[in-house]
Amino acid sequence: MSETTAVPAKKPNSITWTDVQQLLLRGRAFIALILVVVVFTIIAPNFLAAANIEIMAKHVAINAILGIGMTFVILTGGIDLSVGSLVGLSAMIAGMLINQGIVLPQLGIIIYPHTWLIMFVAIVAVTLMGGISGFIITRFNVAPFIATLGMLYVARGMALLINNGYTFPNLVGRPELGNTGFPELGAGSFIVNYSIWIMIGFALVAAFVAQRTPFGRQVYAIGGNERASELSGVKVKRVKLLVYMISGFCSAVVGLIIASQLVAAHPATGQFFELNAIAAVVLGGTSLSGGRGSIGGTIIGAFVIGVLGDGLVMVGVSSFWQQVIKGLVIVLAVIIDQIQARMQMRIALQKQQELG
Amino acid sequence: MDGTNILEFVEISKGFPGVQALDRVSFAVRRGEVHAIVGENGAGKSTLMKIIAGLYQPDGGEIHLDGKPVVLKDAHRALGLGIAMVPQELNLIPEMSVAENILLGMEPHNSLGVVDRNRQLQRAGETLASLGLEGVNLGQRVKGLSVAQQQMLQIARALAFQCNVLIMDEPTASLSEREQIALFERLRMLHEKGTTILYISHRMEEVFDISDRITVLRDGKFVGTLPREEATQDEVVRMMIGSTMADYLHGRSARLEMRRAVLEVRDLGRQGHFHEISFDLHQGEILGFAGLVGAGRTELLGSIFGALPRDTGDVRVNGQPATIHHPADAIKAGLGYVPEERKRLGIFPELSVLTNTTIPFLRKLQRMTVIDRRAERQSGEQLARRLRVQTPSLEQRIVKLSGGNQQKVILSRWLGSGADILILDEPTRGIDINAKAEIHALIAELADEGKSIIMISSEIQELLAICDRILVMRNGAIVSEVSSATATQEDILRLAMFGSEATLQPANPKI
Repeated sequence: MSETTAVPAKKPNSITWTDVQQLLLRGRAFIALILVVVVFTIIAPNFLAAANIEIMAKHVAINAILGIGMTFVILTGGIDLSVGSLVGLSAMIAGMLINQGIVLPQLGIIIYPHTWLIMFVAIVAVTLMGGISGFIITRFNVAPFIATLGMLYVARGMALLINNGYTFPNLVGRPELGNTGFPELGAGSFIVNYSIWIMIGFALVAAFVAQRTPFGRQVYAIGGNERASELSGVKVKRVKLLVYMISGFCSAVVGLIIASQLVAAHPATGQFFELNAIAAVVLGGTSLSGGRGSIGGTIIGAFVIGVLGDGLVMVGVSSFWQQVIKGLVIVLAVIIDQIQARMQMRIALQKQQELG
Repeated sequence: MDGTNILEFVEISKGFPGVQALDRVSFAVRRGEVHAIVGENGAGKSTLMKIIAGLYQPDGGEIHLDGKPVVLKDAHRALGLGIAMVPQELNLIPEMSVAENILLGMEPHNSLGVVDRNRQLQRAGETLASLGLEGVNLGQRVKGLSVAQQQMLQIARALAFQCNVLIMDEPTASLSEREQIALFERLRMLHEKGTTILYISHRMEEVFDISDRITVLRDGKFVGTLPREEATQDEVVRMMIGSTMADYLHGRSARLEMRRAVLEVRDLGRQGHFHEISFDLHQGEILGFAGLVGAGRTELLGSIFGALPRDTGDVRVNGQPATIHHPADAIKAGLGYVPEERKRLGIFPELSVLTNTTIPFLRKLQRMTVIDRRAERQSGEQLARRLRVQTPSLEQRIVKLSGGNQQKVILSRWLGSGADILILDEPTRGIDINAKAEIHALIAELADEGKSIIMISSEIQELLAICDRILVMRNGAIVSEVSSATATQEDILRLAMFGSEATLQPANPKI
């Protein structure tokens, strides 16, 4: 610490009560998670059974993956309300390509692409939809809330249009067409279910990108002060466009996972998922005004929401009460966030006064 | 004008962190007069006006209204006592109609509390008529009006509150000449009706045109009040500067034999902000830009850096034409920019000192696509040491540092990025004296190393002390070029306020 500057400031003398408070506040999501786990372990004896943990982790993975994309968006000071609809759209695109293939009436043929290609197409298409939101936000200066609200409707409408509101059932493909294997994504496992590996992989990559690449830095910088970023040479529009594409990409992957797990694509898939994703981000300590937060926090936030939800089910709390409790937890988290911010300001002011 | 005092200031003081904005200011304003208040940037004029309007509370002293001490605890109270201010930044509500804006906060209503539309329109119409503004569409939304019209509206709003004292803070800053004339006509009308007007301006012609008496402030202190008939422009300028400053020490003389031009600016223009700007910046030179607030300096230099738009003109860097549409282009061409408003445009308050330092040159610190953290830290440490940034660690959030240290961090960005041309907009504003001296020394050092520097400052002494040449801007044009070795503060202030009589053309960049 002392080599960092020519004039080292005085060293903090001892750990004070405010330091402890700060530590508790900073680690609040993690503390909340431990608390939730401990409480449910006491009430529901088989809560920590291995099988149960894997089921919960699968549920968490959905929110966590969406939360990862959402974290990038919120770090820039934006919001993406369209993720739930994009999940549905991604599922429907995959369902259509498996069950109906690509019909070319002029040539009188139907192309049934390989499963890998199908997933690729769904991901590219939905990522581009995220890009459209980003383009509208940066090019026409539309508030992210509005642009992605529009995309919420458009994408859901498209998901419904694809099969006239009907489900694509039984997405197993046919061996003679060479498009089998889609359910493997949802059902298969290597020690644990694939979706959990995807979550872990995404989280590691995202955390790395956020912390260690110029792009990640620029995301934080834009949320911290957009004008100053511009003046420091950050191409603000390009970065913002990219974060909405990342969010679209994550939505697409989640859509595929869900369709695969259900072996069916339903057009209403993913409804209200955006709210869970935002809740995970906020619980994880990311500021809705941007510039502050972390991928790790979002993952913990997703676990809090997932464990809370599943735990309440296991304990037998009615689904109506579950909603009430979830809502209270989210609001409480933001209140604590505000308290922390105010405390930090106070501490900063005190330090300034001490320095003279 | 019956000669009695409507307002009296007794020993008014007001301090902000780091500055004593007003220091025991005492003077009186007579009933019904137009009283101009002049002074250099930072002399305390606006602070004083905000105190009268109830927006700031003085730390000490008393205000007497009609001979009785009053406490103006907020703007509402001041309005209630008949004191209204037309602020520099207009604060009308763009989505509301003209009539609604005039009567905002005092809407006529019936016994049920519902706004009485007819009476609203009628009273708004009467108010405008008293300003000689008949035939204004009362239902029109304010956002469609010109700045001058909005200003009239703001005055109308003040009148609707039956004000006796009207404060105008730099009202002509954004008006065309024709609009100015119209404004003055209205002010004379009000004057004849007995309204007392406090008028703040930089522009001497205006002040001498309209006011009965002139009060000069300097560095937060009262210098004197002169009746207009007895005052001359020279005298007022001298009072603004202070006689002791006549021969300020020139730190850097024009020691430079002319070296090659690293930045050539030709015919730059932007509608309503600056026009026909041409100048050269030479290697190792410190070029100052003097002028009043609103002269177009910030807009001009921001546009060279690609941060603000421009309509016409070319920029060459090191002899090559440079297409700069975005600050990223400018940085690539070797430019660096320290903006005027450090908090709003400079720092990332919640991010660490290190992140704040390296943000513009992350590309230089990456291996593959990953930031090389060791290289980043080394670079950050080196820069912090060189600029003597005082911080407990590089992980400290920058918002916790003092203003001077924040400014050093912003400067260090451009040393790290390897910029050869630095544009500094008010680099020492609002920072303590020690940091200021350090930054001055650093600027000179960088120039000696061969970097070229453009610097805006509102402190003419500062420009004289560290610049080689100074360009003076007025109303969006360069009116003169002076050498800091021969010019005096008075010369520059006079050029900034009146322009040069001889020529209004841009200075010839080729000497």
